[in-house]
Amino acid sequence: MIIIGLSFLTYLLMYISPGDPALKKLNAQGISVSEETLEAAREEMGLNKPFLVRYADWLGNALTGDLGTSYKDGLPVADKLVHALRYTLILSAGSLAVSLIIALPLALISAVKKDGIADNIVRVLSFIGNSLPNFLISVLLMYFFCVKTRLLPVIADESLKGLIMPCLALAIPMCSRFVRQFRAEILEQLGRDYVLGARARGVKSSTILFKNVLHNAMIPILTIIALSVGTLLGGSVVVETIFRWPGLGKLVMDSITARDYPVIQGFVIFTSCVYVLINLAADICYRRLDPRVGEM
Amino acid sequence: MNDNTILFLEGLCAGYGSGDVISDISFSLGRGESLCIVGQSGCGKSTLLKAVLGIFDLPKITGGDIVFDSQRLSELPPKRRAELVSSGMGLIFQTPGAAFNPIRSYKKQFIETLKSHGKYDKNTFLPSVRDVFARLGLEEHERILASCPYEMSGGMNQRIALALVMLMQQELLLADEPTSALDAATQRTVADELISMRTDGLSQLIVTHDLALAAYIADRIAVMHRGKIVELAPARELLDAPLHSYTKALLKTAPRLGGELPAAAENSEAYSGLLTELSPGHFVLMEVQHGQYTER
Repeated sequence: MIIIGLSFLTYLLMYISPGDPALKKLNAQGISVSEETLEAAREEMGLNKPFLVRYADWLGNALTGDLGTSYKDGLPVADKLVHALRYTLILSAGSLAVSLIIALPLALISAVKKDGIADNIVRVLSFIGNSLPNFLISVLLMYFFCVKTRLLPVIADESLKGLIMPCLALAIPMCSRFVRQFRAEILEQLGRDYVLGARARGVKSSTILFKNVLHNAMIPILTIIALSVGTLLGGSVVVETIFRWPGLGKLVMDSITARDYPVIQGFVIFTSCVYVLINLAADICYRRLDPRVGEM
Repeated sequence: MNDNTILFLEGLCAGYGSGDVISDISFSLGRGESLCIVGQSGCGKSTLLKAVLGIFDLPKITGGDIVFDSQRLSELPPKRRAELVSSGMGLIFQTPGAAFNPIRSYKKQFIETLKSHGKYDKNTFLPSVRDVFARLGLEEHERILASCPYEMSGGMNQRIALALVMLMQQELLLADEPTSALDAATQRTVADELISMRTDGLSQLIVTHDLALAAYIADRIAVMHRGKIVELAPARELLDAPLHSYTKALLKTAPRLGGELPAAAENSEAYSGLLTELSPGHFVLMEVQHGQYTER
């Protein structure tokens, strides 16, 4: 229901937004545009049909797995999405892994050494990282790694070297946000009675921290990660566009510019499915982490 | 202090940074003896217990000393002190089960506690637990061990906490309002178990505002007010023939629901002076006047 509702809203928004997809398509193909040609193209693309008929046609096909063909190049939308998804998955997995590897230990140290020097340094750095927008980080990374040191290519290719900068551009703010959120969750757990009880029983600090506090904090932490994964798999428009990374973000940006409705629709459906699936996966993990969840 | 003394407090003062909450607390606790500290809320009972345990950040001990098992705690390095205290003293919280991680099985928490003290033996663990549980009237030890604290009733949780104290073979039980969160029937069960454990040689320092509980389980009772012990005597003697004005007032108000606070609480002069032994084992806070001790 959520997916159908979202697809309807997107279809409606595209319908009422200015711009003629047929005109864009013909211009892109370099065909001289006469009124007759334009009308023929509209007829061919089904743009002359009433809104609800168009939406019903699209929905019927989508339910059978056919998301239509791109107005821009005639390729199947599903193929274009799968192709772009491959790149987005690589970028998402890389940036998420970097963020988690850095954020989790830093949040732990920061929480355990609350108000100490390490905590203050981590808090200041995470505040700065969290405040910087993606495009600024991308430009700064380009300046240092491409212009100044010439260590990395400006346009990301499929090599590991090409992945580093878009990955960092996504990971820096995400990691900073993670550090602050994870730290708050760990601190909340550290203040619980069971931690005092375990300390009173003389349980080793490492056991309290890793087997109890971190385990219990993983439930809210998982929610934070799940939301970020959803956002990442939707593609990062800014970073993918700046580094010309052919992922979903760049695909949808190009499609919006070209009024390529089938691709945009397909993207919305895909992103909605990703969010629903990620939430489902998170729910399953909650049950594993907290037996109380299954009893509610 | 003699060889039979497990705990000796010598002019103990402690607070949370802005003045002492408890001051000049002195008493000794014999092996296998039960001492109940009673008094109204805010008199410093729980602070005293935390100060004795000494593993929390607050309260800070500002004066006096604690001798536990013939070792002067102030002379020990912090790590050694924490080891000695956590291996020798067990703590029971007011909220049943609060001292345990609510979503981690008792088995895991028992094992990690025993392992932290080098007392875990895989072969003897289950038989030992079965024996201890049986003594506390807990049946189906494997089912209980596999359960998490959130799945258990208040009375069960409190008894399981007592079981761990027995399993650890600790010498002193510190209990903070051990029955106040329980229903009347479960209060009685837990109180009986405390008596049984004392008979088995476990020394007990129990903080409570429940005079009936103190009368039922204690060998001796100490009455606290405004951070000081105003009277300390064998339980029966203190209840039958209280000497300090605050104790008399406290005992008078005890049976009345919604009774007013003891009037003597407002007479600040009643809370200065020295804890003086008037008859064998019966101590009362008194002022020196004209070369003689005068009861307040």
